[in-house]
Amino acid sequence: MSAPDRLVLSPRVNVESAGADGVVVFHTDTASRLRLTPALYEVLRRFEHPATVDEAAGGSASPGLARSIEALRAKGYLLAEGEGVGPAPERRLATTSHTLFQCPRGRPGGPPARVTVVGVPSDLGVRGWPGSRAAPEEIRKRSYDFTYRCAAHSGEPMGWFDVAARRRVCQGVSFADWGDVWLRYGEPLRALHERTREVCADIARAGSFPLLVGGDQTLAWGAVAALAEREPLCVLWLDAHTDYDHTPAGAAVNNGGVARAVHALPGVARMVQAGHRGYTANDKVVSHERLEIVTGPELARRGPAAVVGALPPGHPVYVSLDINLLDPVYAPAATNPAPGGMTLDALKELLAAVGESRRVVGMDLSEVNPSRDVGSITAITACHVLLAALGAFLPSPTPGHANGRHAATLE
Amino acid sequence: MTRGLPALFGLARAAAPRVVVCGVAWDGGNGVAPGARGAPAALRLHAAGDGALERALRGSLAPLRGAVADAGDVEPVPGEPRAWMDRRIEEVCGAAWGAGAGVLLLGGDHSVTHAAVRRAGEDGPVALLWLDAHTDTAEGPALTHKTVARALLGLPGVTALVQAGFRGYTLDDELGRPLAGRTVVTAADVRRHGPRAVAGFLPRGTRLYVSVDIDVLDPSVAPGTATPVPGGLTLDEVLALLRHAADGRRLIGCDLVEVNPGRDSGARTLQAGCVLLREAMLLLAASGGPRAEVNAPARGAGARPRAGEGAPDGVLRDAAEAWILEPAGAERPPG
Repeated sequence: MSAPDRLVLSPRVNVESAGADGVVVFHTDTASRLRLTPALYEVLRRFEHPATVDEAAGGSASPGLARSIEALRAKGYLLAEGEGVGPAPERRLATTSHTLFQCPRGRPGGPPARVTVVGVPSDLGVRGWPGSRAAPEEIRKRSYDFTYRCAAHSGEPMGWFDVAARRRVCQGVSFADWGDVWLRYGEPLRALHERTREVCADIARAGSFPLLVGGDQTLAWGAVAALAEREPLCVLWLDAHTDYDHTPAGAAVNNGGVARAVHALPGVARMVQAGHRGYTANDKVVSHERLEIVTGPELARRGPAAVVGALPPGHPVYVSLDINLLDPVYAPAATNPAPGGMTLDALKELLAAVGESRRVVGMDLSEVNPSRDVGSITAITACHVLLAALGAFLPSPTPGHANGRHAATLE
Repeated sequence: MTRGLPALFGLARAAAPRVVVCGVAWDGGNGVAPGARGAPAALRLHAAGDGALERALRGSLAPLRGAVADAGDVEPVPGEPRAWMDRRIEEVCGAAWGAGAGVLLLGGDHSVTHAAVRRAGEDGPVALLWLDAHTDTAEGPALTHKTVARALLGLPGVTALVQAGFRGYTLDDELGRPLAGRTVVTAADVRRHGPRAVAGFLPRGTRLYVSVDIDVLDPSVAPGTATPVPGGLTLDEVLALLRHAADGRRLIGCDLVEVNPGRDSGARTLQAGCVLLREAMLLLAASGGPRAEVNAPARGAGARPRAGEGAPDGVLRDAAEAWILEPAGAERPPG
């Protein structure tokens, strides 16, 4: 930077907080924060109108001040006069106030964890009651009763103690929460689904296990699209409904037809649905060669073997779980509750059976609607379901090879 | 009656009571979710209500007229240390037990159990049945609703602690930290083995104190509590646990804690609480009285022990720590 160049404050800079210990400025494009001394902040303010460094410094700038200003320039807080700013960059992820189980935050390109958590706070794919957009945050909040901890001496994740099974689950399994998929209200729903796919592709590239928390169940489309591109897989659809409506031509997929859309994705070898029940108006889907439907009553009668037997042994499995699979006794706050659902014990048994005999490469949990909850029971139950599923799908690494931070690869 | 509240189930004045009722409006032992201080008042008001269930409960307690005294609530003075309140609890319990009556405490958070059990231990050996979704055996300097069970195990006179209803996911406890004198039965094992087998872990012929944390019930039955945990017991299972525990033992005290009216939904937690209180009152009355020694066999169908059923009495009392073991071979329903 030559001395006489005039600089100007970027319009994308906000002040986040100010106090005796300094001023925190925030750049909305990069989501970066800087803590400035009050004196440096005063200088920065003088760039509201184009000014040279010396003008802003009110005389000849000291070498230290010049270096600070150069750093602000490099980080985009100051722009060359007339440089202008382009359109705000496309963002894929938003920071959340809580992380699932209070695990560390992560980001694409950062050190990979075994499990990567992403929330999809959208209920725009729902034809019934909205409200599940609040679920990722509510489930994260409730998950603080199940804190993710690492042993002080080894850094190895300690997992959780499963009281009923009397064993530890997820020991040595590292977690990172990437936050929520960015949602720009007003954009076509398809854009959100596409963004979810890109985020899941990043997770898969990092060799991590994607754990998506909805939102509505249309989040499964992005996850399966990203994973099935890498290798053919089977989808296990756990739901009180088949979600197998036709999506009108040109429309974005909604939660009544998302299973059909997921099933139609290239790379999806087979779909197995379990839990379908109740009375439907026009939902007359029947099993065929690539689709197996195990109804709720059939599942209760035949047990997990009915589901596991329908999943071809050679293929990896993606699990999409609508909370209304559980009976409303356990999950009253589902978007579309249906009586006669599974018990929590039976679901844990099913997840254990799937995890025992099949390689699960990703999962989602969706359709919790906190606005209809009773004392947050459904959100608490959702935490239990997540721990049961992860405990079943992700066996703890062999002792000796366990490495919390880098035990990352799936295969 | 304190603050013009009705006596529990309208049973107030007895010259020589067999049961003494006392509320403890204290939730200072819960650092996260206050509200249990409102439970004694809410339970009394609900029990006096006009609902069909509440009328039926009161009707069924008619035989106890003249046998119950309601001592009102211990109301901690804000700013006073809890020792003040604990002394009041010990006074009420001591007076009742001195007269041969049983004590029914309305909590309050779970830390209120400590004073009652400490007083009970002074009179001689007492076994504890602890119905709870959690084990409340955290380590810590203060007496809170998370550390209370561990504190009780060190008290003189406490001979056994059987904890039933434990479930869910926890961080770093329980198996790794054995506690002498304790038996833990998970909620899954209560369902698998039945309440009679659980009661079988208590020594027979002993004085018995039963502490019921309302969160032992499933949240669908009792959502109004500080820390609900899915997969809990049914009301029938908890009632059966109470009956089987009192059978062949002298039930001297019972408490119901951690009801949080502010978190209730449609008063269903208060309803469940009143059903439990009624059962406890009947069992205490059957155990209590000046000449009571060991309770007569419990009333009702199915209460009589059958040969070969249940665990051997007190067999695990002396083990370092015992969990009911799963029977060999997983049991799946046929088909």
